[in-house]
Amino acid sequence: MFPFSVHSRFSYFSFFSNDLVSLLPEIFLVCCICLFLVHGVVFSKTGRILSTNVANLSILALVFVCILLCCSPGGNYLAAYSCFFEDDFIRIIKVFLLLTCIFCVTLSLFYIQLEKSNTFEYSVLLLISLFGIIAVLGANDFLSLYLGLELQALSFYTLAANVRVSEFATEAGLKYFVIGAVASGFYLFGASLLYGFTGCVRFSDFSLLLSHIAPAEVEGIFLAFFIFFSSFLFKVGAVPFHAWVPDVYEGTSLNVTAIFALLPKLALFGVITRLLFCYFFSLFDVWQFPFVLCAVFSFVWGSLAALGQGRIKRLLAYGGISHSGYLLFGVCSGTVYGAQGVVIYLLSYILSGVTIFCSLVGLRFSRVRYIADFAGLSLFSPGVAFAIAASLLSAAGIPPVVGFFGKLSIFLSALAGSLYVGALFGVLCSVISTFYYLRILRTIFFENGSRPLGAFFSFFGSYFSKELSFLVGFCAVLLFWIPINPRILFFISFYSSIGLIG
Amino acid sequence: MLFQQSILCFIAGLACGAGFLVISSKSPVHSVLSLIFSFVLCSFVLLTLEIDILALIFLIVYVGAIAILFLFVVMILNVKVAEARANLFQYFPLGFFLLSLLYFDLGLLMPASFSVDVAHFIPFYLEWPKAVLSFGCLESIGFLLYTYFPFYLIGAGLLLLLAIVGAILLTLHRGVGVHRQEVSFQNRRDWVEVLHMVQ
Amino acid sequence: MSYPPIAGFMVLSAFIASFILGLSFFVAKLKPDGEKVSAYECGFDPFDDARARFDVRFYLVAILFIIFDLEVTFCFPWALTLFYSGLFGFYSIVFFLGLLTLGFVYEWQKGALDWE
Repeated sequence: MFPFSVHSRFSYFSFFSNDLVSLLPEIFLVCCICLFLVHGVVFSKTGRILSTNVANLSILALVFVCILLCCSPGGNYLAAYSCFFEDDFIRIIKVFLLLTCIFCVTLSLFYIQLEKSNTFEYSVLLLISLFGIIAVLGANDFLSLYLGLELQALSFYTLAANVRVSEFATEAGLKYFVIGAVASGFYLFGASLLYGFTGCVRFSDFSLLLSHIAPAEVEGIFLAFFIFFSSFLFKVGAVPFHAWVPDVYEGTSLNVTAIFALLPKLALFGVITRLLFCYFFSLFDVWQFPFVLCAVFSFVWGSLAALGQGRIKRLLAYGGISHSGYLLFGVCSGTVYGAQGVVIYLLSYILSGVTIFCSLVGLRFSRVRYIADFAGLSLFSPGVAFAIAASLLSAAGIPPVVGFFGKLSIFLSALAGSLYVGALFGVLCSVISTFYYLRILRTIFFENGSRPLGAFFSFFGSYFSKELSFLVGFCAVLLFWIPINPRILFFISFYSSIGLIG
Repeated sequence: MLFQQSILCFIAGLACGAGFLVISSKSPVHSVLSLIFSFVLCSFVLLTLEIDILALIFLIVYVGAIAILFLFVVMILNVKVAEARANLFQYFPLGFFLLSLLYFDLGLLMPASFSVDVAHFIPFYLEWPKAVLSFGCLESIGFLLYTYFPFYLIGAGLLLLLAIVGAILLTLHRGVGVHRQEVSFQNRRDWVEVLHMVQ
Repeated sequence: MSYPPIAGFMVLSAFIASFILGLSFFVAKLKPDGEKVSAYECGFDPFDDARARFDVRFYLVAILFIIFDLEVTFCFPWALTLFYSGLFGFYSIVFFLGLLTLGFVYEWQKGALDWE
């Protein structure tokens, strides 16, 4: 272990050259982050407003990272002395993560121009959090996972409190920070207990260890396991640990809310699925029932609490809680179809989320905060009304939209895993959630509000920028196009879930 | 062994007492001081366990920097002491109950699993070269972190960079209309260019 | 490990500290009074605490200090084992320090070190 001899001095470089190839996208991303930071700070001294510039540059960088990722050598491999792991599942999730991040930067670009904010650090922070999320996805031991989680969380705290003048943003940032610190504490405590009880740091060692001995022989591993995973439940906002979600969603500005809703869910459910399916599957009997309870309570609570919400952001937050419940439910089924369902559900969630957040950002100038403010939207802006309708129908899981396939595959996999009661609750809750999503649609299409929305629209008629309207249109069309030809969706999800198992 | 353990228990007990002082003392400055005391005692505990790098970090980072930061927080925020105390005793029973439950669970689990029969292992795993050239925590971390795990180091560096950016972004606010002193600009200024003859 | 010298230093420093404190306690003339520690405001009872609130920029300086403090802690094990970890170990920490130097450049250019 200790590199004493001369021999160890040259062996590092051979070990390093392969890593350079396999971790090229991440290394490129880090170089871009450093470059943009220095670029931004040096040129902002000259008095120029650089926020749009750096945002455009970061979109370019994300496209390059995406290309590098698609050109990576493929197959399963361990990189950097088994700190990072990569297979097809991770690679596909990473590509979708990058695409989502491009969408988020585009959305925030519009918001930045609208608010005339001069913080180029916004894009840099987003890139750093993306790097953290990628590290979370590919982590193969406790330490790299923790580094990734902290990179993501720390930049998210800063993003949440970014709007200095807003008290709500500060409150949201503080709440998010405290909750995140508690979750990190749980993570570290659980990880150190797991290490103490088993002596393993790498996740792949856990699967080896647990497949060779009965888990009950390792005393205390259950406690450690649940403490460890409760931190993930904290971060995704599943029910016993969900109280922070509505406040944080409501307090942060709209672009940051979009980032909070979309990016971490993709990565965290990716890593939860991978941990539970690949490394802790021997403990399946132990973790299935508590996680099913968490999932069921999440979607029941998310659906019921969203009924009484008047604010659109709080409603989306409770919707997010129930979405993480469904995703967790898909993981709990413990079958390959469950993993496939999770991927399908994640993709439909991302699509509908991008659509609705882009629409809301575009409607920012008409001050849409309450659901009642949507009244008469279909008259003044039928395209946006159509896009919002598509995304809400997808979130509710109504058949002609892609969200239906997500819920269908989750419930089918649950039936295959014989979770009948949970599936029944899930169907009931999605019926309940259909009620409040349809209520918004009724407000959009069939109500004329007391407040003239059109007055804002005729004045700020062109406030959807070209990129934003392209994005909204693209995602809304995709929401309807994928169900017509769902082969590609099923192919991608099946390929990734096979990559997870194989 | 017993001597070491008794020293450990003594220092850990003192640290617990200091921790209690943190939450029970009236003035926030006093609680910060007892917090510093508990940090120092924790570093002694770690030193007793021969985890010297963590003891060092406790002294340098926690006592040297974070405790000072806490003092600054106390100075920045005008915390009303009485309200905090009222809340403390309101939540005390529930918190105490949950904590005792947690410690009960841990106590059920811990001793059974960590007690290793040392005599069983030593004859097989005693390596004489290692016994002669023994390394502390600092050296072993140095051997591993900078050679086998440089990506952790880079990740930590990125985390610190993020901390710098975040701290500056959240706290530094430069007003537009504020006049600042620009020393280099003042020095560069040539009186020949500045002065003009007014007709 | 050989910690006795450290223990010796600790005992010595504790002794010196308590000696100096005790000296000022026993030798100086003590007349404790509530008015001595309270805030003085002319003519009426003090409204508020004697402590004035700080500017948040002190806090910024302290945070920046912590960050570079942590950077230094990463250098301790490196300095001990530099001979064994070779050129690679040297360059790994050079990259680490380079990242923090970028942070320093950011901080400098942003004007966080200036005091208006």
